[in-house]
Amino acid sequence: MERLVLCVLSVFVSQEWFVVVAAFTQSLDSDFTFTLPAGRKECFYQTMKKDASLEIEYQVLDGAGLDVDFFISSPSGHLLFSDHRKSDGVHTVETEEGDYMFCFDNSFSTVSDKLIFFELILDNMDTDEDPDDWKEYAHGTDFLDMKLEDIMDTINNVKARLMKSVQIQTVLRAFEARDRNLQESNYDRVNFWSVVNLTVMMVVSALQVYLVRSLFEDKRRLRT
Amino acid sequence: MVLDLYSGLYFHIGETEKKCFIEEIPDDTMVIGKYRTQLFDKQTNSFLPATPGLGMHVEIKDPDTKIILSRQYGSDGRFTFTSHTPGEHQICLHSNSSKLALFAGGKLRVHLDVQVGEHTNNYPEIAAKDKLSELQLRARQLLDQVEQIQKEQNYQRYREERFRMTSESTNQRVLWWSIAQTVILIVTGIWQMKHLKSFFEAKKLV
Repeated sequence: MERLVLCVLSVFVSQEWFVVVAAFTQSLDSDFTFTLPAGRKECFYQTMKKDASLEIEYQVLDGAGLDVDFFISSPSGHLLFSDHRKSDGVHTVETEEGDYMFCFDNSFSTVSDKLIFFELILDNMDTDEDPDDWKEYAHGTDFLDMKLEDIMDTINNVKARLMKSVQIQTVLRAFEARDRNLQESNYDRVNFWSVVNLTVMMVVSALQVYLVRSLFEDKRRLRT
Repeated sequence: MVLDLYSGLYFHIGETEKKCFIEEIPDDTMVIGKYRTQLFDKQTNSFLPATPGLGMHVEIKDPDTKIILSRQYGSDGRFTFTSHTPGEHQICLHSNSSKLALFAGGKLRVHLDVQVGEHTNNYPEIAAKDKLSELQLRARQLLDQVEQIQKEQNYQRYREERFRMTSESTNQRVLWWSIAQTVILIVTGIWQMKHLKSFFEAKKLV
């Protein structure tokens, strides 16, 4: 009995991937941020069902040039989309059954690591919904079943919109992180080059005076 | 009830390779990460499900690069942490294979799922604990979702303030450095002229 409960609970906890709570929404998403070292390529794979949709959105958050190569290929090996040195992109794929591969390529850069953020939004992933699963865990009875349907619909609506809000928030957060990284590197650059500039000025002016003086020192000796 | 829990995102990891992911989260937010590993078997040319003895080391750092979790898990693992400071937390995974022979030339496939904030709530548990009806449970879920969005917004506000401070500080520094450099150039020029003039006068050239 305990094993069954555990099994069921573990299904629930991974609700992002196996939408048992299907009545709410069928959209699943996940986002990841990682550092892509210079000259490397990183690939990720996503298992998809037939007639679902996969939307991938990526952004380069940090790293000189803020650009990366990206491509996505179908389970049969076909190259679906390919971006060359873009700083952000969105692609939607109507999927077939199998593992889709998408890769970020930083081979063109020899020194700078790129910080890459990507978000996967999956739609219509579950083909066998079971909308009333939560009834098993909930207590009490609900009266006025017909009114309940309306309320349930509204709740589902609200949940879907809230999930959209969360997705938009994630994207905005990525934009902000990118701008912040850019600003911080500007700040560092301004500091560094100002100090260099100052040092160079001092050194050059001292050098100029010394050189001019040394010119006249020699002439003086020649005269005597 | 055979469920393919991690039929989602996966990637390949080399033997000594360390893969890190960054999660930018507000404070007091719970994060649950789950992973499942599969080893590539050359004989069957496919990925075998669970390989005992092949563990993953999980290391989590907080925004101040202090390690808040550093543990070894088995071939399938689940790790949890709650953030105490807002910011960029880093989750790093690397394999700690006890049997090197298994890995030789092979790749390890890691299925990863990271859930943040409201998604970590276990609703059947909450329903049982607070004795909620289905409607109450769904309303509770919506409330949790909205709360998470609010938390995220507050965090963004704090981040934007820091961002604005950095921008303003940069602008100010650019302005002051420019003025300072101009002043130094003028002062240095005057000094040079004065010094050389007195030098030439001393040498009786002018």
